[in-house]
Amino acid sequence: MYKYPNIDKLLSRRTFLLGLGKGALFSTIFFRLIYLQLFKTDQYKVLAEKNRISLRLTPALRGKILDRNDQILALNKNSYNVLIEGVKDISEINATIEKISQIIFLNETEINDIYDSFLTKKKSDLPIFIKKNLKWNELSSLNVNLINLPNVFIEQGIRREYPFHNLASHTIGYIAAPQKSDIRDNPVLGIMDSNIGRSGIEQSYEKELRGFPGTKYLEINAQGREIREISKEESVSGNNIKLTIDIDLQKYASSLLKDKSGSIVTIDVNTGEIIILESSPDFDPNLFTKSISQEEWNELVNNPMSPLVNKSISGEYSPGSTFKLIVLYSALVNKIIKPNSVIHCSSNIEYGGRNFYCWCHKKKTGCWATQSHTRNVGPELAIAQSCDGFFYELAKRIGIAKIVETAMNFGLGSKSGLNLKGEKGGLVPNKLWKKKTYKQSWKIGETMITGVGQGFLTTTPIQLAVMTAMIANNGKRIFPSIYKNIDQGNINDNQVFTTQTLYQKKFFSLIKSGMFSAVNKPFGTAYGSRTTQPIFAGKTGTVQVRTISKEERELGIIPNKELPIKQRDHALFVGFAPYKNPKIALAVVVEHGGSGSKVAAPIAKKIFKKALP
Amino acid sequence: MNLIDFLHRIHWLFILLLLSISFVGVALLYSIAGGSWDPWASNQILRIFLGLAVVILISLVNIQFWYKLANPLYLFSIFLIILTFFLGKEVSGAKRWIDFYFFSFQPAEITKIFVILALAKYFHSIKLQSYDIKQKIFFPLFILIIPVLLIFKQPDLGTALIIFISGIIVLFLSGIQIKTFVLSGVGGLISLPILWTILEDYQKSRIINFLDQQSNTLGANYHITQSKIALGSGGFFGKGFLEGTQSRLNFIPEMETDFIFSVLGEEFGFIGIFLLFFLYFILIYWTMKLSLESKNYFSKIFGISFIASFFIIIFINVGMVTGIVPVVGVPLPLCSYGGSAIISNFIGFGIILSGYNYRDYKLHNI
Repeated sequence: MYKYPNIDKLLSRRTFLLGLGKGALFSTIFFRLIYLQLFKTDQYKVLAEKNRISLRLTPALRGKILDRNDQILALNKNSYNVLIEGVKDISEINATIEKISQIIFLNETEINDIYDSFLTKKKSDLPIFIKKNLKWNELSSLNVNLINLPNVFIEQGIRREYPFHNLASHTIGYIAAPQKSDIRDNPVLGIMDSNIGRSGIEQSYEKELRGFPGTKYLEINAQGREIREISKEESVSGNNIKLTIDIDLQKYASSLLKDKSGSIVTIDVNTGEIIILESSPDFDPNLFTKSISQEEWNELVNNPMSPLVNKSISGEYSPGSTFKLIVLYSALVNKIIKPNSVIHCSSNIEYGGRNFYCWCHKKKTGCWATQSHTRNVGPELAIAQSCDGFFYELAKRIGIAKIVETAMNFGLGSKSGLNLKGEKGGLVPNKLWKKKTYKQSWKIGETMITGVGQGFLTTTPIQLAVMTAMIANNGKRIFPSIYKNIDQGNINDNQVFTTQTLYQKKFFSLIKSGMFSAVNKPFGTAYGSRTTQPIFAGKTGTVQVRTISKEERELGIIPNKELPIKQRDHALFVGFAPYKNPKIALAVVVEHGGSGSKVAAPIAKKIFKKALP
Repeated sequence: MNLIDFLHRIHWLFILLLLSISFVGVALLYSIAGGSWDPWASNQILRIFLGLAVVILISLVNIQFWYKLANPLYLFSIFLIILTFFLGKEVSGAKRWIDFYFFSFQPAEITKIFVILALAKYFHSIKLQSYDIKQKIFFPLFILIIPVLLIFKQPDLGTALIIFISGIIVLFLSGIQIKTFVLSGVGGLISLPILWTILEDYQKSRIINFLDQQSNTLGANYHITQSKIALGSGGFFGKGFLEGTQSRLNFIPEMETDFIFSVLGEEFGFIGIFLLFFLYFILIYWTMKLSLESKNYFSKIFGISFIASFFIIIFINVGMVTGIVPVVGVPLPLCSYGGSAIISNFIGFGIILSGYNYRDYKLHNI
């Protein structure tokens, strides 16, 4: 029947060979499946879970910040944010930005932020913010168009609000998105939408304010959309923080420094609680919560009056004549002079080939003492009239080492310990320091200059306030505090100095009566700022920002108001009130404000009048 | 022919086997849709029953009829492929579909069958006449290469490749010397760089991605990565019906068609895969047995080639989802969603059953 009988055989053989081939191919598949499903199954199970489960952290409600009278300084408000989830590549972002821009306005910073967060996000399954804190009209127009925007959704969030805006902004601080370094230190911040404190109390008490984030395990699909919630743990709200600040007084202080650059610190002389911590100019912390624009940021950073710097704790100024209080105390306690000693002021001391002028030098109306032919000045008068000649001589007699010791006891030269970032310690120079820094030995002339609060010596306004408070409370060491919840006044262990105080009370009385005269006696430097009923005592300070040359001095000193602003003197005033039973102490610094008596003392007077009932 | 005799001719047990494999696919489609008959499972059932009618109908027709029709059917399928270039519905850059009013059809699928049918007829016929080796090799190559090139141009690399392999299998079965295969294999390897230049960019990138699976897991290798995760995480026992997270949450791409096997592996594990493979094994073995029982070469060559091609498709699909073969877009026979493939396969099995029913029939040429 068939022509080729071997064809049947051939066909069977070839079919068999084909079967062998199939068997070989099948076994590769078989072993591959054994490898994937039996040997690697644990590894792939983990990968499948990673695909499916997304851990989301829900930020806790941030604690409120209150002033001493429970007025709210920082709180949380609901806000609406628009987000996109499940974005795989940049083209989806481009398309979404384009679509959303037709509905609501996105500025350049916001658009850059979107790309930034897409490129830096840790886990691909996390949503990205398109715009935060939507306005009502934005929210409603987005809601209408949401159906045309795949993967875009609106979420209710929390926004920090500072109802007093610029007031006490340096103290309260602000919150903003964490920086890369913050995320490196605390990786949790990278996977949670949460701002963190960047300055002031918001930063210092970040941990307490933040609370504990809640966790949510979500099942998500390949598009990154939430399918269901697997488990959830609620967040724990942060603690409220009550400050010692009185926001009403702060507001008043702020108005007194309006358009000026400077600082006002008011402190409770017994507890160390800070009542006013004003630094001018200031800024609105609300700017940072709503993502600050580049122009706004530049304006803050490039402002010559540096509004972002808290001058109360970071501004280092020569204390000028306010330091004479310390020099006098040092002299008394070291028994260099007696309370009734006098020193001759010649208004121009020559020492080591240098002239040391008293402010009364070549003035038509000199000081009270110059009108007497003896020109002898006692301690009380020296304080009241701020006699430079007296303190040059006195400092020379005490020696720098003792002055430094006293200054340190009053808290100068070291940070006050206020828990705010950026505090500076000032500088109380001594021989060792000079040697280290300038490789030169200390000169007696430098001791004399230090005696009138000039030279290398610098202090911060808060240090001056603490110093004054300690004079007012007869030398009880106090530590400034701004946090009402913890009574930091009680944790001091500086017992040595406290026991000394009773013994030295008469010295403090002498200094204080000098300060009283400075304000309330016609020869006092702050007599112009007196109150009809004597309330407060104080000490003025006028700090030269530039060195006045001998020639200039011969030609006559140019009045402050004729100098360019940056060369004008700093105006200082420290004081306390009430005189009889001191409650509060204060330090006022007005940068380039002019003289302490004309500029700083009137501010102090107003604060005392407002702060005391 | 009375009804009893009629029903007796139908190979019910074999059809039951076809149905059971198809219904594994239906179950998976139901699961992929998240436990819903819509949108795939219900459609697929409809097609399976249509296919069932086709199998029964074809199997009852004398094999002589299909023998006669082999060339016209081949030409008809070529015509349909050419038609796709003009009337084709464009889906992601490729024109593979012809849209009829009620359904779309993919001519390449049916071409798989008709090319084998035409080649089987050719080799059957030359055995009854002269046996000229030159004619024996060049004419069938011509029959083979035309649809392969046309489908490659659609472009549908996977189907073109499968038709090509199927043709080679027919040539192999019909007794061409193994030396010839080795030589042309070497020739093919040499011409590979030339072939590379005519590939489309996306085809090139698929091959490159296959060779470098570890990188770019979110990009082009996403398919394979997710498929391997699905299979691997299924483990030995699987996650259970409707419990596959990779499938339920859409991590596996194209899972109703090319990647349906990953879903099986995830939900039913190694055991489930083993059972499906067992069904496939019975089907393949049985088909070969039935085909070899026929007394004419046409049925034998068609049956064995068809089932070898069927096996190759399974191999390429499973190899693809397990990451040992590049992603070429080949569905899993009888399981993947798609009417053209289901109906085409049922037509093929119908012809095999017809050949078995008429196994003693002597074919007349022309």
